[in-house]
Amino acid sequence: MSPPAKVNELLAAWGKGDDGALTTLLPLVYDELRQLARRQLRGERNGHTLQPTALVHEAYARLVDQDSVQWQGRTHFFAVAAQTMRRVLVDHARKRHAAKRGGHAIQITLDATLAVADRRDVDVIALDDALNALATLDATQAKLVELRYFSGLGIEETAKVLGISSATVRREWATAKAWLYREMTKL
Amino acid sequence: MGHGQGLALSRDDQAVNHEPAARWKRVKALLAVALEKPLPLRAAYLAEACGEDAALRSEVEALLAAHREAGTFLDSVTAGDGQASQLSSGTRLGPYEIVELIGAGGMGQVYRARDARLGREVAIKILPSGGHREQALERFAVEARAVGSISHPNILAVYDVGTYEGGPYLVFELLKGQTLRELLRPEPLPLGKALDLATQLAQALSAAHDKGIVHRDLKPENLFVTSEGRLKILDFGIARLVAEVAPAKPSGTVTGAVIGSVGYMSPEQVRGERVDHRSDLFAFGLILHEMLTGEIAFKRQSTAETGSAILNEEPPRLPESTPPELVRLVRRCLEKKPQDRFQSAHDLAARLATVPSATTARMPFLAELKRRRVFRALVGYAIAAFAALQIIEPIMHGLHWPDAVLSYVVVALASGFPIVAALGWIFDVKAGRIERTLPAAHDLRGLRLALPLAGIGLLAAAPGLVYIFVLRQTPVRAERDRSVAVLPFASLSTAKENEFFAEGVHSELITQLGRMAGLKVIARSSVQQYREGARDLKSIGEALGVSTLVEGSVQRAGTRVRIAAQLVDAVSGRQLWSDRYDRELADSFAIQTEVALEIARQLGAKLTPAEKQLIERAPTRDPEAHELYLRAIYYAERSSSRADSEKARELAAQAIARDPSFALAHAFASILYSLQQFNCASARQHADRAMALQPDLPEAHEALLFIYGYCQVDWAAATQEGLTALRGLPGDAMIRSTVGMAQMRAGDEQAGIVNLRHAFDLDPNKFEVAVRLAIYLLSLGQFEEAEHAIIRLRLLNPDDESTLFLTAALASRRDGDFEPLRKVLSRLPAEVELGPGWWWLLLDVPEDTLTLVASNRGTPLEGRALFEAGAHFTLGHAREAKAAFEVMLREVQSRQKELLASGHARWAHNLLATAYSGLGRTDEALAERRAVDEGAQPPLRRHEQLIFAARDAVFAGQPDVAFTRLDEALSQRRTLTTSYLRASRFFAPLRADPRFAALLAKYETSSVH
Repeated sequence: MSPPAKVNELLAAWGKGDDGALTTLLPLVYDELRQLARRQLRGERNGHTLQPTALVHEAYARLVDQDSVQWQGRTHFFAVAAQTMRRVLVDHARKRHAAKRGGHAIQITLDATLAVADRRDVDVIALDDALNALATLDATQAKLVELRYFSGLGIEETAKVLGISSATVRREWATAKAWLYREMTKL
Repeated sequence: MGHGQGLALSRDDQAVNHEPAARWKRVKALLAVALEKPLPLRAAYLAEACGEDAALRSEVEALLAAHREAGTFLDSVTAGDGQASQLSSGTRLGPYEIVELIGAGGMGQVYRARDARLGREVAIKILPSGGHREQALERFAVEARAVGSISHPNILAVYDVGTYEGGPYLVFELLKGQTLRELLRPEPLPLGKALDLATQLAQALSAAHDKGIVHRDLKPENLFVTSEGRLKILDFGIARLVAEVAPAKPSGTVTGAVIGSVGYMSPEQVRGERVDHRSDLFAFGLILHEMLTGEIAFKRQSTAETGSAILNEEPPRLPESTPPELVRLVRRCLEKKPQDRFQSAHDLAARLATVPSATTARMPFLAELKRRRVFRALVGYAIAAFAALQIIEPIMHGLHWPDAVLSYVVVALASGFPIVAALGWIFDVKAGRIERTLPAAHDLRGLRLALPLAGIGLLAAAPGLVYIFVLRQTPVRAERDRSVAVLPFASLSTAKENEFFAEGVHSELITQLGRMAGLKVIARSSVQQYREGARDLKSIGEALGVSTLVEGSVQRAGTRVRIAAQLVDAVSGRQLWSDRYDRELADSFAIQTEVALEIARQLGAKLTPAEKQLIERAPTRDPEAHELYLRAIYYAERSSSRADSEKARELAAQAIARDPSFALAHAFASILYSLQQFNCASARQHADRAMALQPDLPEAHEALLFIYGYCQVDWAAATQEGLTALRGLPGDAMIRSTVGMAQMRAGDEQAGIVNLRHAFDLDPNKFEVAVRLAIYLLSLGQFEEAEHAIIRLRLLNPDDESTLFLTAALASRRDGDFEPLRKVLSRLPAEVELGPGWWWLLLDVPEDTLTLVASNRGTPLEGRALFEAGAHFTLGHAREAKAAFEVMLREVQSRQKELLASGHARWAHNLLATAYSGLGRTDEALAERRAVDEGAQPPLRRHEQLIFAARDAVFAGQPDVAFTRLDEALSQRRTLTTSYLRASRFFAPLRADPRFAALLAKYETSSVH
C-alpha cells in the first residue's frame, strides 16, 4: 500500500473513533516530519529556525492523497501532526542542547529584542515543559496551543478540531499565551 | 518506532491537578475580560472584580503585563489563513489587471499588472491576506500613502494602495533590472560603480529623512538597480508596516527573513532601542562595505552571534586599494553610537561627493591638495580660530559688548580660511623643496607660518564660521513639543446613545484643545481611523507627527457619566497623566473642559485669558440640548448620505428648540445650511442669531465666513470673518483652508497660499483641503508643489471629479500633454456638471469633448453648447461651430437675469463675450468683455481673463489681440506655459505667424526652467 493511501485510510479510521489507527499513524507522520526537519536544518546554516508550519504542510502534501481525503481527514492530520511536530522539535533541540546546558537556561533568545519582524525564536524545550505544566491546569488550552503553534492551524480550524467556538479559541489563545510567556520568562 | 509509543497521547490523558486548575479557570476568566477592556479601565475592573483577594488581583495583573510583553510571542505562523494562492492573468484588482507573477517572497507576491485608467504597466505587491485586523489595515493604508508622498527618483514610487480579498496590496512603478543582492552575487562592485550607487542611495535617504521617514530595513534585497543604472530603494517604510499588518508568513516561502535582516541592523536596533534616521546610515555603511568587499561585515553563524558582533566588534578592514577617504567614511557610518556617525544623510552625501573614484577628475586635485598639506594648514588654522573665539567670547560678555562685535570677529576668522588655503598651497611647494634638502626644518617652518596666518585670518571676513557659530547657539530642540492627537474615545456600553456621546466628547475635546494657539492638535478626520483596540501608540504618534496622545473612554448609565482619559508620551509610551471623572450627565461639558485644561497644563501650553474664557464657558446650561448638539455633530461628521445631513440638521433644530439661546448650536445649524444645502436665507438667520447671542464665539464667525464666501461671493468680507474665527480656533484646518481660498480670491495671494499650505499640514487627510491647495498652487504656476498635492488627492480619493480634473489640468498646462485629460474625460460620469473650470481645459481635445457632451446630462444647455462650439471650431467645422454659438447666445440671453442674480455674473458675461466673438460680432463681444475686465482684478482672475480673451480673439479671427493677451498672460508666469502653447490644437492656427515663434522664444529663453 502506498503511503498516501495508507495514511488516508488510517485517518478515516481514526476519525471514526478507532484509536488504534492513531498508534499506526503517528510513527509514519513522525518519520516523515523528522526527515523533512533534518533536511531543512542541513540547508540552514543560520542556526535553528525551523518553520514548524511549513514542515507540517509539506508532510501533509507528501503523505496524504489530498483528492481522496475528506476535510475531516485534513484536520485530523493536522491534529496528529501538531503532537508529532512538537516531539520532533523537542527531540532535535534536546540533542543540540545536551552538550551545552541542562535545557532550561535560555527561554527566549536575543531575537526577542530584535525589532524587525517582531518574531521571537522560542526555545521549544522550555515551551514543551511549559505546555506540560499548562496541561495539568487546562488540558484543552494546552491542546489548543499545540494545534496553533506546532501545526499552524488557523482560528477557525482550531475551533473545529476542538469543537468550540472561534471566539473561545481567541480568548483561550490570548490567556494561554500570557500564561506561557510568564511561565517561560520566570527566573 | 520508540518515539511513536512515547507520543501516543490521546486527547486528555494528562493528570489534572484539581485545585490549581480551578484557580486558573477563575484567573483566566478575569484575564479574558480584562484584556477586552481598554487599558485605562483595566485596573478599575480588576479592583472591583477581585474585591478583597489581593493575591488573585496581582496574579491577573502579572498576566496582563505578560500579555503586553508577549507581543507576537508564539504567533509565528498561522497556516490556511496566511496562504495566498497565485492570481491568474486577467484577474482584476480595482482598476488593475494582473498580467503575470514576477516574484514572491516573505512579504507576499509581486505581479506585473496594467493600470486600465492610465494604460501603463505597474507592479503590484499583494501581502498575505487573512488574520489582519481591520484597523491595522486602515493604518496600513494611511501610512503607505504617507510613504507614497515621497517623490524622489531614487525611491520606488508608491502609486496606490488597496485591498484584495481582505489583504492589502500596494501599487508601484514597474522596474526593469535587478536587486543589489543579485548584482553583488558574482563579485564585489568596481569602485566607481559602488560610489555611484552609494551616492544615489545617500541622496534618496536625504530626501526621505527630510520628510521624517526612516527605512529601518535597508539591505541589498531592498535596493534595486534598474537597467539604466539607477538605484531605487524599495519598501520604504513599508517593511515595518508589513511586519505589523501581516501576522503570518505564508508557509513554504523563504525562511530566514529575520536572520537576513539581522546582518544589517544597527546596534540600537539589536538592542531594541529607539531607532532614528541614523540607523539607516549604519545600514548604509554596511551596504557600502558589502559593495566594496562582497562580504556582509558582521555576518556570523547565528542570529545571536551576529547581534553580538554588531554590538561589540569592529568592522573588518576594507581592501588596501580603497581610497582612505572612503575607508574613513564607511568607518564613521559604522560607529556603534549614533552620535558618532554622520548626523544626517546630507552630511554623508556631501562627504561622499569628496571621495575620489578612479573615474573622476577630482582625484589628482585632491591628491595634490593632500600632497601640499593644505588640509593640515586649514586644520591648524581652524583650531587656532576656535581657541581665539573661546577666549574672546567670555571676555566680550564680561565687557557687555554688543553681540554684533562677536559676529564680526567670527566672520573675520572664517574668511581667513580661503587665505590659509591659498597660502598653504604656495607654501608647501617651497616646503617640498626644503624637505628634500633640509628635512628637519619642515616642522619649524610650518609653525612659523601658522602664526602669521592666524593673524591674517583674525582680520579678514567670510560666512562659514558664522554658520557654525549660529548652529552652536541653537538650543537643542525640546524632546516633547506641544503637539497632541486625541484618539477616538472608547464607548464602554453597547447602547447607540453612548456611542454618540463618546463621539461627541471626542469631537468637543479636540475643539477645546484647538482653541489654544500654543498647541498643535491633529484634526478629527485624521485621527478617526485609530479606533479603539490594540493600537500601537508609538507608530500612531509617528504617523501623525505628534509627541503625545490622549486616549480615553466614556460610559453612561442613565444620568451618570464616567469619563476616563490619559495623556501618553508617544515615544516612550509613558503615561504622563490620567484621571477618571464620575459625574452627572449635566457636568459632561465641565469634564471636557477640565480634561482640556489639564492636557494644556501637562504640555506646558500657556493660555491667554481670552482663550481660557472661551474654553471654560459652557455652550448651554441644558444638558439635553448639549446632548442633541453632540449627536448632530456625530451625524454631520459622518455625513455619508443625504439622510445623515438631514438628521444632523433636525437634531440641531431640536437642540435650539430646547435652548433658544444656544449660540453654538445656531452657528452649527448655519454652517449645515450654507455648506450642505446652499440654503443661504436659513444660514444667515442662524448666523445672525449666534452673533447676537455671543459675538465673540469663533464658530459664529465661521458661519459668517461661509455665508460671505459661498452665498454672497464677497471674499474680502469672508476673509475678515474667517480671520476672526481663526483667532479662536487656530487649529481648524477647514476654516484655515477656506480663509486661504478667500484670500486668494480677494487678491491677497501671499497670505492665501500660506494659509492653504498650513491647513494642509494641519489635516493632510482632508480631501477638500488638499483640493484647494492643489487648485491654487496650480493657478500660481507652482507645478511641482501642486503635483505633490495632486498625488495626495489620488491617494485619498482617486475617482473624485476634482482629482481627475486636477490631474488632467496639471499635465496639459505644465507639459502640454493632453493624454491624461482624454483618459479622464472617458471616465467622467454623465451626471457631472461641466462647470467653468472645464472650459479651461476642453478646447484642445475636440473629439473627446464632442463624445463627452453628447452623453453628458449634468451640464446646462448653454454650457454644453459652449463646449460643442469650441470643439467644432478647433476641428475647423465652421458651420457647426457657428450653429452652436447661436444656441449658446440664445440660451444665455434668455437666462441672463437668472445667471446675473445667482452670483454667476462674471461667467455670464464671459459666455456672452465668447458667443459674440464666435459669431463675429466683435463690438458686442468687446462690451461684454469690458463688463468683466473692468477695474482692478486680483492677478489670479486677471490671468484667467487673459486666457479667455486670447481665445475669444482666436474665435473672432483677431491674431493681433490674441498675441497681446497671450504675451501678457505668459509674463505672469502662472498656468499658461509655452509647453502648452506649443502643443495646443486650439491655438494651432497662430503657429504659422512669425510672432508665435517669437513669443515662445521670448519666454523660453528667459525662463528659469
